[in-house]
Amino acid sequence: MEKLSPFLLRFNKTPSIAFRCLLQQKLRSILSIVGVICGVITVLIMLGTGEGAKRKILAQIERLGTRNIYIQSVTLNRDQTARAAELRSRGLRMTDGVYIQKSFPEAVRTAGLKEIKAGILGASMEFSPQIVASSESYDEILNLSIFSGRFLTRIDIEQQNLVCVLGNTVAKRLGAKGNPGQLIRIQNHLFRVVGVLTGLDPVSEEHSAIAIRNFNNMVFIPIGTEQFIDTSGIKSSSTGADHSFLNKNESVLDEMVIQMQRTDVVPHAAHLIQRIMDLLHYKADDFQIVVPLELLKQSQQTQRTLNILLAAIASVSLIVGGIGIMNIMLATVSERTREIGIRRAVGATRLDIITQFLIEAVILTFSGGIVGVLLGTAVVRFAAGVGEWHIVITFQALAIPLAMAVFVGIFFGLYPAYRAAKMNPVNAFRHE
Amino acid sequence: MLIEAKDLFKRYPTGRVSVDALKGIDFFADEGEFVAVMGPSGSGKSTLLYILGCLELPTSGFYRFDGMDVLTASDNALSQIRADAIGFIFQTFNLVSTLTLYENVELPFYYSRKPEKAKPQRIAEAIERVGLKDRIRHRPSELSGGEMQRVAIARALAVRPKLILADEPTGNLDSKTGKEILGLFSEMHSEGATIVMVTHDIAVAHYANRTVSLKDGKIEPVSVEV
Repeated sequence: MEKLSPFLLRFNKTPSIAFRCLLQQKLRSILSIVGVICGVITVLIMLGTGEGAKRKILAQIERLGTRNIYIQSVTLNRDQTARAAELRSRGLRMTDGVYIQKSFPEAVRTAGLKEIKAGILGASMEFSPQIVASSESYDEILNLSIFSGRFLTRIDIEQQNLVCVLGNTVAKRLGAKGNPGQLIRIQNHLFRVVGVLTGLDPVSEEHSAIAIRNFNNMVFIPIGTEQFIDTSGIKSSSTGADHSFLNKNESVLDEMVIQMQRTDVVPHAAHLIQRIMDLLHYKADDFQIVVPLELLKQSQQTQRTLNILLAAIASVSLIVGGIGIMNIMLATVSERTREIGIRRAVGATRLDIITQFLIEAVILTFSGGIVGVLLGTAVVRFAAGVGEWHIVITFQALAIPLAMAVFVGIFFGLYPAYRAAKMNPVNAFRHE
Repeated sequence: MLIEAKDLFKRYPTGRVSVDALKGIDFFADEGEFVAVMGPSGSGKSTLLYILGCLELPTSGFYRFDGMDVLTASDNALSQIRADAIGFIFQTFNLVSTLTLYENVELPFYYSRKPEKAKPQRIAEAIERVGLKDRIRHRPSELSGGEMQRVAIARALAVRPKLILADEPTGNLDSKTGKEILGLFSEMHSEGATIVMVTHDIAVAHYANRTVSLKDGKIEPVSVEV
């Protein structure tokens, strides 16, 4: 501190003097920082866009559940279908889930889902909710919360009750008919509404590997009951008498979700499930396994790379701004040659001169940085209000461009400052 | 002895032909002396002054200022000497136009090792000494030539340097104002300041108690004691 304090005293007035010099050349100073402002805005938006994209993907994947493993039916072409039949694979069925759950103590819950091509009668044309037959534990696995009433229960499935649970939007569109206790008509059967789901923020767009379902627009019916309405046709010999959901005529599922106890067992379990399923399906590739946790890791990796790329591109504009600063500082230095000579004559060291001009350059870029951050934030706010632009401004998105602006000031101010410092003092104050 | 300079040579490389500004000069000054350096323009008197003020180094020779060997000292050490021990007064005043009168006088203190506590008092004293107490907020452009030179004198005085160097201090002033400024020099001298002043005007040189004449980079044999 003893040594540092005289050094600090030297510069306690430098910033205010630097500021005054910059103010005396208002227009020039403003023009020179415009470049920095633009650069900072670009970096900020780039970082914000990257962060926004990251959060969006994270939200999608988290909705899929990082403890979950998805097994999906694969649509087969004719040759593949023939091969699957040859191999005597029966497609994705609830029984697969039972085997898996037996093999894994860590598998907490299993749920099956089947998409039904059917409509709600009386609903308008543009409104077509997706009707799915599902297991009773689907809501727990996907963390769906109930707005009113209840979700499907095991009893609903065992007794093949004609009940349904509505997604929030569906319930709203149906109005009074969408309340628990009401009856709605799906194809030729009446289903009693027993529950309505809480609305979820729409995560509409598709992720590359797995589609995110829009639960707001779904109607859940007990698995098995789809055979009463499904026109596309699993021919079922069983009628009301056979209510077992593990029978041979059970439906081929579109998707099965297995929830594990903890996240850390997921990768290993996914691997084993693949092998179990291969065995159960005689290596007919009529299913695929999707692990949200893996997707999460992958997308984090890609996103990180993408962010670096975006930031690098944005930095180019900041460099352009920096060159502007360098230009202006060179002009300042040559304009103030006399002053430099005078300062040297009254005892300024070369370091003092360098510091003085560096401080001026940094004041320029830092104020450009502040203005850029403010404007950038405003631009983002405006853009978010106008269009669906996912930009998230984090502390980093503010701090990084600001730090870069300061760095640009130092980097591009260094050469002009060095030029000032190495001048011969006598020549300098004789300069006109 | 404050200034001991022997056999100073200074060569300026200007294009193909180099110019010898000083060709072997010996210069000595004791504390409390007021020396005038006379000579026509181009005689090398300003060069000598800047070398004495540690602003420039001689090409060869020996120079000891206040016991310190100037030729082997670092640039930082020379800066420190200029800040603490030397005050410059120039023909063209050389004030920083962006700074106020007060700040111009304060300028050496940014770089001086002199105690910070004494600073405001010394600045105030120096400004009062040159009679500009009521103009401390003014910029150099708002002052007359005589006033600007007073500011420069105050700037040189404020750090209480061991040596005051003046390069044609009255060269840009009318004779009346010049006399006032020279009056200030006499006062400073009588108060014990060591002054080396460059001039080409014999009348100005009369204010000094010793005159050294330079011609073509050499000292003319006749030194006039006043």
